[in-house]
Amino acid sequence: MEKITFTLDGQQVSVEPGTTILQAAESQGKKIPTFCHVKKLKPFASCFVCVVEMEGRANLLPSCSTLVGEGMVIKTSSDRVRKARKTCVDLLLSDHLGDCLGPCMSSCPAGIDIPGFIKHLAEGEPRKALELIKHNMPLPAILGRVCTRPCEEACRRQLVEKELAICHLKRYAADYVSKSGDEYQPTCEPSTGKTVGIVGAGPSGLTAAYYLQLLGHQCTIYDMHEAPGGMVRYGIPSYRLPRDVIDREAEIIEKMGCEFQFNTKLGRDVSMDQLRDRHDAVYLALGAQKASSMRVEGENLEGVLPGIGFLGAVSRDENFPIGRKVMVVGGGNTAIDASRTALRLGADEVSILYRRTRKEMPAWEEEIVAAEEEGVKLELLAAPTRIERNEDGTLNVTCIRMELGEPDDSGRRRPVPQEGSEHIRVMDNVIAAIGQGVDATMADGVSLERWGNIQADSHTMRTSVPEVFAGGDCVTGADIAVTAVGAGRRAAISIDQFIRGEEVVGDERRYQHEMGPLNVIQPAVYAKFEKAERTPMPHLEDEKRRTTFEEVETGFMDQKVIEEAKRCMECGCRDAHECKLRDYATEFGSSAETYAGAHRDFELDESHDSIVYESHKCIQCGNCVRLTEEEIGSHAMGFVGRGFTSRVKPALDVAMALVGHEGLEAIVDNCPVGALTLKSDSVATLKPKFERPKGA
Amino acid sequence: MQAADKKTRKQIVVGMSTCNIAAGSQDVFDLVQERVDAGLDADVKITGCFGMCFSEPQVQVIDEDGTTHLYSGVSKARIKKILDQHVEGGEPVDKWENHFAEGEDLALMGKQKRIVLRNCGVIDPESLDEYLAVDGYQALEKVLKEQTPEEVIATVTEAGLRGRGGAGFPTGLKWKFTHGYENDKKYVICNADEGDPGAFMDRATLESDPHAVLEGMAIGGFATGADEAYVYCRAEYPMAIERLNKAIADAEARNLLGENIMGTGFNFSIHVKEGAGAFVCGEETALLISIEGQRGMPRVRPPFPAESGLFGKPTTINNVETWANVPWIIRNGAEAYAANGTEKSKGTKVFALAGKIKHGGLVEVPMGITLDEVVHEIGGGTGTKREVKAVQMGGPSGGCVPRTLFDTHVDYDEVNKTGAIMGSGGMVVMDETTCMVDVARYFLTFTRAESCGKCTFCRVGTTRMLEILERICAGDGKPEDIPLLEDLAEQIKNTSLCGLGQTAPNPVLTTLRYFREEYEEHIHDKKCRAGKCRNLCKYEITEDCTGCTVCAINCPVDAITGAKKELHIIDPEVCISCGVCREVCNFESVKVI
Amino acid sequence: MTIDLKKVDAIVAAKGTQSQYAIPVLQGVQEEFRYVPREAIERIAELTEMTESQLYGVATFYSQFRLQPVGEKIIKVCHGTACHVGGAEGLTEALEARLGVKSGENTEDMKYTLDSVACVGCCSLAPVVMVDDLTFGRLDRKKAAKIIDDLEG
Repeated sequence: MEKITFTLDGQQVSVEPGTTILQAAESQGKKIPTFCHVKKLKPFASCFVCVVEMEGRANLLPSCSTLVGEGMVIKTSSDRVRKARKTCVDLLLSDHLGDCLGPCMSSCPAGIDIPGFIKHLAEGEPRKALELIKHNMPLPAILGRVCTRPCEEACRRQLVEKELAICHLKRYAADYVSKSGDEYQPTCEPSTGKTVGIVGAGPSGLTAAYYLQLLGHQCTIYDMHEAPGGMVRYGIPSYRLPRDVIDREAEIIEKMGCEFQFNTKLGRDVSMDQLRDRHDAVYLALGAQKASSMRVEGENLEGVLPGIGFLGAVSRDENFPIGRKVMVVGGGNTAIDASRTALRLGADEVSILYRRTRKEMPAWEEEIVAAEEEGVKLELLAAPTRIERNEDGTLNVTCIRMELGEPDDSGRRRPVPQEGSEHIRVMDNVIAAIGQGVDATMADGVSLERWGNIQADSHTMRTSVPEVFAGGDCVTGADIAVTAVGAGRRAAISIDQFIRGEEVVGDERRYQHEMGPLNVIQPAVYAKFEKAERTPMPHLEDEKRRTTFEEVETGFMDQKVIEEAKRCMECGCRDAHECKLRDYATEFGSSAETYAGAHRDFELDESHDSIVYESHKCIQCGNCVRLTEEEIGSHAMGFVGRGFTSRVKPALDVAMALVGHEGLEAIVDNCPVGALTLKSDSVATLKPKFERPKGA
Repeated sequence: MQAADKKTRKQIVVGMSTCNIAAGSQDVFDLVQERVDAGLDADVKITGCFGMCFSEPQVQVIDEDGTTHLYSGVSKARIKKILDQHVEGGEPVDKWENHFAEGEDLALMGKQKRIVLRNCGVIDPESLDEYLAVDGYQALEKVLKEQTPEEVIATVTEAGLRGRGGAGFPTGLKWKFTHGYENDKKYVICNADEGDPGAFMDRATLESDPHAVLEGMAIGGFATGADEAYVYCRAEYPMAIERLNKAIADAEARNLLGENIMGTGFNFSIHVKEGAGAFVCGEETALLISIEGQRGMPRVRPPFPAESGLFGKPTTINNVETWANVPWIIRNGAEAYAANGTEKSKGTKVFALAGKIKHGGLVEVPMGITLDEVVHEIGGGTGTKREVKAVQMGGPSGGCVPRTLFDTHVDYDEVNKTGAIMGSGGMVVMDETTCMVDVARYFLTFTRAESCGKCTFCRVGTTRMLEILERICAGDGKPEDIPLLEDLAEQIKNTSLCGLGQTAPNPVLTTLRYFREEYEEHIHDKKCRAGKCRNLCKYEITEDCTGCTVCAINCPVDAITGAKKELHIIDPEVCISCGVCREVCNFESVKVI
Repeated sequence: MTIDLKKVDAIVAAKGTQSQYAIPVLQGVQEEFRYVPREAIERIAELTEMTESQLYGVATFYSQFRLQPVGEKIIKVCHGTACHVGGAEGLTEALEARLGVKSGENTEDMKYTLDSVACVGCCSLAPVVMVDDLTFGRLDRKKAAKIIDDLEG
């Protein structure tokens, strides 16, 4: 028969009669998205993501089932087509219940494959766990001790009894490998001959160096201090984070080929221009080093110390002199660290003065408890107004009582001074731990935000200067370490792209579907889990705690680890990395929120020995139904019901266990989403190797 | 109206269509039968629906001389008196005979042109003899004995008949396609899955004149080369199914259907397939799949049924009204048919008038008549002090045409311009107590429930549209809901496989086009001017109250107090805004505030 | 509940065993048992070329089929356009109150099932209610409740 000629996106194309538009486009190397098209089956036309525009037709046509006709003029990616595809995926997402990645993983700023490494631990493979962690986060021993654990806050295990001890397990994996004597030392790509200058040896700078070295770029880290770690060394006391732990993880990076130049301060010992001359790219990870002012008369008197300066000084000298009565002002982790450090230095009476109530304290609850256990007193709803120095060197601190008024912009109730409540407290030292700011004035030529932070794109970390990138606290203001780690990793990916002359698009960003916050999780999601208490972290015995700088949290015992790891509910989707719905949502910029409304209920069927069916993820493409009908002949799956509430189910709504085994792999393969998966596949990504993200 | 032939005894003809029965004619019939069994000198007969449903139950008494008296609103009490005074006593009960105000009769009947409804309410639908007496099956005989299939197709083409199911595809052309495909087996199908809520002409036709449909199908079978046929009738029409089955059996018994019809060698058998409740089966590919015993989920066209239809064989599908036109066209010629209607829409159209209308029922009018003529002149307007606000045409696939467009001529193309569609001919009239947002919500509730669930845009999209409409009606609408709704509606329209999805947004789009201010009032002012959306309205009794107590009696929560003949008061604390008081008030003294 | 499978066999024998007869066979079963029992589907699948997934898919697709037992009388409130405009919601409310069930439910004594229907094509007498195959027209809340009173006699 004669060929049919038509126009496809402006080009004349000839195909055999009986060819669909989708097939014709594929023969031209154009990939049209589709969920419901399965090559060996008759076209079905249910998903409508494959629509194309035909000149002269008001309606868009499903390309999977529309035959090419002579003279047709077809557009496969016009604005209308793209809009329809986006809406199609918006609609499917609005009736799709599940998580691409578990809530722990999606809330981790570094994006650690948490279910993955936990699974390795549960299987008794701590080394594999560590390798997987390092795919996203090179400082697990450090962060395993100091991270504020946004992952655990999101952990769905809380709905059963208590969140999983994710952070402690991470620390365990790192410590286990170190103690084994065979430290994990990653293999780097061959040298590219390019170099990167990194300012700051804190978590962000170290992380950037780790991944840049992996990718073959030579890094030099400049730091004004005498040792690596930045704020985790000079802002966190050693009883929480022993210094050898920091050194150990920095040493791995050094062994990868990274050079460290300590006691080198930007603007004093090295200039921006010099860095830009020397290196192919620069990463600024300056941190937030400047202690904030209390704006109280007398705060510069002798005996009044800035919190961060105090902790830094103690970090260098554990015999730093301190008075008997110490008042710490502030409610954050630094205030707690300062108070507990003061105790260890020999202070008898340490109090924390905070202007709101305990509930509003930004410090971590466990740390507050630990401080109280060690004898620190909390004085809430109070603030200093003036400090005077007595002749004997003691300080008269005038304090005022506060009460909570209307909520401010941050939603916290604003403290209001109570008139006439002033009283004087006599102290030997006052430590002002009310926060840190950024001083980036030495980063010549780089644009700053109004409040002094460096201006940088939050995803690519690019600054106003093309070859200069910035991340961590110097961009965000004082924030948690793991956020700085995430920034360092993203920066490394962008810098690599920059150095290789590629478009700088940063790390790949993929659509993330979520079931929502804990309060909307349907009980069916966690009903099958039996209670299993969270493994407590063993502590140093009490008397040692108050008096020494020995590490308080002594780490998990080996035998407890598997038990704890098995508490993981493995949230997240087995298909997250092959899911077409996720791919298209990413490609079209779709969102579940556009048409948010009623959606499927959680319905998990694990009764079959090899496959799992999650009808809450099904998008009704019908591939499994048609395969069992037309190809396999088992008629195992069918459509049930009608309209919005129709579902794909085994006949008579029986359990999946009864559908047999015939052709199941084909069914699972052709499920475009994670509704039908193999039990043998894991929720975890288990991708230990750090690779360049695939394109933009 | 005149009976066909004179009888020596009086005849009592009771309207026995579903609508008549719903109005109470079964009791009436039983009473008449009882009296006749007891010796009353009269014949009892039944007939179908004459179209004047507003005056049902209807009983005709035909005197010995052939004079017909049509009685309306015949209750059990009335029939007793009619039997006594008229049938026995010979004195017609004048006051219950069908009387119209001056001119109304002329408007109601004079503007109509009855082709499809020619026998409805006239003959006994269960009697083949009566059908034969009005020249039934003569058209079939004519084509079988005198014409070639090509000639038949030419006649239907020249008549300009277009599919009456809604889309208006030229019937002759459709037949020609099927005729053109060589195959050892072909089918004819009558789509009697009249799913549009608000449409009932097909039910009435099947109940009142089933043979006309069967004869039309046989003619179509001859023209296209089919020897087997199905009537796909919805299960909600038990009487239509019963009468169809009887008609088929009777016709087969007389060799008017079945093997070697009238000795011409033409075979044609018809089966009735009972639908099982799925609106989407009105869509032709879904209907075919349903007859094949599957879930009625539409498939892609092409191939069209003319090429590959039922069981993969060439198939011609037309709806009830289309088939019922065919025998008339053959008997009277294409020219006579085409003399009615407009240039592109020939012949007549049956409309089902319902809602807030005085003369609810069936009317058959020449194409091209204006909406105003149908609604106001024939239909008599609302029949209350209230004014007509809009007419909903085409059911869930159609739209609401506002009164300002009542000069629209009723033909396929003109109606499409309004955003509504001709559809199968349902016209639901709305007055100021009808909330247009609620109407849109109502239709989306329907389409959402009837979506087969196959395609994304229809399955999920109609649900999302409904959710938006529900929140607007509940008073939770947001300003961005209108553009969101419009955008989604356009996309569902353009990106759905079958007619259900493609037209589901029409009720929303037309109400947004003509009654946008009502949406805005719901959203911005939290007000429903029609007093329909409960969260958005409160009621008050005005000074016009006569103290008749009807509202207080009907109030489901006893929120209304007041002494007889005194002004009544609604207690706003107790009131649930159900609107019953306003519905029942005869003096329009319940006001929405 | 166990059912007499011989009745199912007879229905299959009368209607046919090819897959095209799925709907008539299920309609026959429903006419016999007033709903479609699960055992009947299993039996039909055994006897015919119809599969369980076809039968179950069909039985859940068409609104006529009921998979649960129903009351002796089925009361269907029509929610067609004309009935809606004419106050069908009120009829449902009135019947719900009269029967003490929600639409879609059976009364406890299994005498009635209250349901709704898309349109019974009796629009000119709207609003209407169907009791089994009988249609009642021109109703209001009071008259709708009275249908039950009359049935209760």
